[in-house]
Amino acid sequence: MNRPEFTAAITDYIISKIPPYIGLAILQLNEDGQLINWMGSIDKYLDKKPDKHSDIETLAPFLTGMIPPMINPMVLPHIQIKTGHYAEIHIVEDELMHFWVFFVDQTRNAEQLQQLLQEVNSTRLKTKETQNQTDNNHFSAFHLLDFATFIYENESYKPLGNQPVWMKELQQARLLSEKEVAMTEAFPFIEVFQYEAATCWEGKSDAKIESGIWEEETITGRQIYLKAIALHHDQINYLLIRSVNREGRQDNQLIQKAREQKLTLDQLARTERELKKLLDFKNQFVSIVSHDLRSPIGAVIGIANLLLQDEDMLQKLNENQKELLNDISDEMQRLLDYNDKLYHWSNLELGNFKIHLKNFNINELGAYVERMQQMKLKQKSITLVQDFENKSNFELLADETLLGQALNNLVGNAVKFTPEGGTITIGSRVNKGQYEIFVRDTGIGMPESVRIKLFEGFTRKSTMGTFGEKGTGLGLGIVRKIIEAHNFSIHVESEEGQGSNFIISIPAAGEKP
Amino acid sequence: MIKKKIAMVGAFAVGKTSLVQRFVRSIFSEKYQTTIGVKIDQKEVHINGEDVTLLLWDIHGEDDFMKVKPTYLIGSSGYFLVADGTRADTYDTALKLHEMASSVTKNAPFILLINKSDLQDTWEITENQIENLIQQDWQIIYTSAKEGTNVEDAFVQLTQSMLQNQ
Repeated sequence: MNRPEFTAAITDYIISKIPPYIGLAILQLNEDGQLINWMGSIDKYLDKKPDKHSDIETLAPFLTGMIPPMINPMVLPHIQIKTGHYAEIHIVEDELMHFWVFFVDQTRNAEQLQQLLQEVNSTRLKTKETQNQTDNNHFSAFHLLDFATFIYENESYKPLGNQPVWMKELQQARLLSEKEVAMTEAFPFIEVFQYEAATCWEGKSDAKIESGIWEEETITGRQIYLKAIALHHDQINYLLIRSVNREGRQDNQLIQKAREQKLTLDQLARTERELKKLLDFKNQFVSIVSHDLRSPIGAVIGIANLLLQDEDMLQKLNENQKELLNDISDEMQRLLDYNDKLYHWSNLELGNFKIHLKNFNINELGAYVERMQQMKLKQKSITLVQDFENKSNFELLADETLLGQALNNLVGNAVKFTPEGGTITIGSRVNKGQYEIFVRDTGIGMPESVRIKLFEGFTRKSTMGTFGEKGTGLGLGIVRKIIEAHNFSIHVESEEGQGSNFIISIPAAGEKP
Repeated sequence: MIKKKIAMVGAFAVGKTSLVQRFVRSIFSEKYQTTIGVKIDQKEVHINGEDVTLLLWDIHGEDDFMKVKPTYLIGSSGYFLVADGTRADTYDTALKLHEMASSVTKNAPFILLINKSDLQDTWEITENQIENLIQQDWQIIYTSAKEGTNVEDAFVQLTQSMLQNQ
């Protein structure tokens, strides 16, 4: 190797223009482009070992056509001389018409630059790709319909078109504005929906699947209901998200109302159950008390009757005292009657009874009732007429004792409200295919306001009879219970001053309680 | 940081949303507001020396109008079955949802929360029913979203079970 002979101009050039000398190699060529001198790491840049007067184009084919240089000096940065090897090349002509070639190693610099360029260009290409898709895609204008649209590929979501207004208001709007959207971070709901979406995204033909509704919040704390649609169209996978606030709110209101009603009904049912418990407790209490009162009341009646039969004692009493003794007997009898009814009524309310059905002749009940009411009928000179259709031909299936008690109460009631000399008719007939048992009187009747509440069981008001008789207010309640237990029905026809007609309707044979 | 998903399932109006709101925001509203679909909240907790982000999936209540989709439970590390102590039928709904939830989550840990313990005098769910489940090794906690009773404890206990289970 011969050292190059640097002229002043070349020395200046090296100092001012050649970058820090990393792997610097220098070639000096004559006016014919033949190698005269060289120095530095020449083998880094040349394939062959140089000889004096070697032709430069043979020695360094990458310099073919470059000597003489078109401009002086000529600088060629980032020339890949060998695979993975880069150099900056300076070609300079000096005042003696000699040519100088400088090689500066740029491999590291080029690698860094390449990486940077790669990233920049990739992004440029992707943006271009998205822009193209946006321009041409059917769904790119869907934001106008309130949809946020994304293309799903390689397990990532890329936005398509513009964002709808609702999306910009979301707390997670920032996460949704990137070129690659952190979808599942923004909407954890989508993470689960992807499992369903996969069924249509992985298919070959066009398909779609809708998600359920989920709720998000805006920056201002307002609720937004969203729904996602996974779509596979023309071999592209899409995810569309839309605000369903209007539908969501309508659904919400509808379901809210239905559920509130259900809760109210449940509450009512609970209250009813509690009330029933309380009523049962009350009836049980009444049943026990009325049962236990029967013996002492009976004893007082017995003693009063004994005294009333004691002639010796009666002779010692004045008229006023005798009347008081009679009053004791009468009032205690009435108390016993009241107590018995109370006992029956509470047991009926509790369901503490069994119906023993049998066939019997209604005439027998007529006779029974007449016997039971004989004294009261006589006291008020009331005539009891028995009007059973075809007399003994009407047989019915019922509990004879209970039905007898019901008819007895009805006739007793009729006696109470029928003036002296009146008539009560107890009978039966066939009316429109139904059997009917009726108790009709020529009494004072009743207004509609009384009639509609007649069978409601215990009433606070018990109307005084035409003879000043007092009632218990329980009689018709007991009648209703007995009739209902048989699956019969009862109603009353009455007008003030026109008497009353109580009618028990018995369904055609075959319908048993 | 570890992320864990917890699903809240149960009949409607048992207090799932109220429990989440009590836990996440320490608030309670008397007004019943039905949940449509799913509402997801997050809360960071420090349990057993680990920071855990809980993703709380408050799923709409089950009834004739809306059935819980099994897919909503996918990925849950644990779940709460929530019943309303004052309504007996919510106990049956919780049992029914448990069958589905345990199958989807592959037997993930769960806790039955019997909510509205502030109204315990009027509970319809009986001690026998609760005893039956305890016999089957169910973990049961009485909560009151209204008063905040045991709410934090319930979430801590379930998270601990989930961490042990991972």
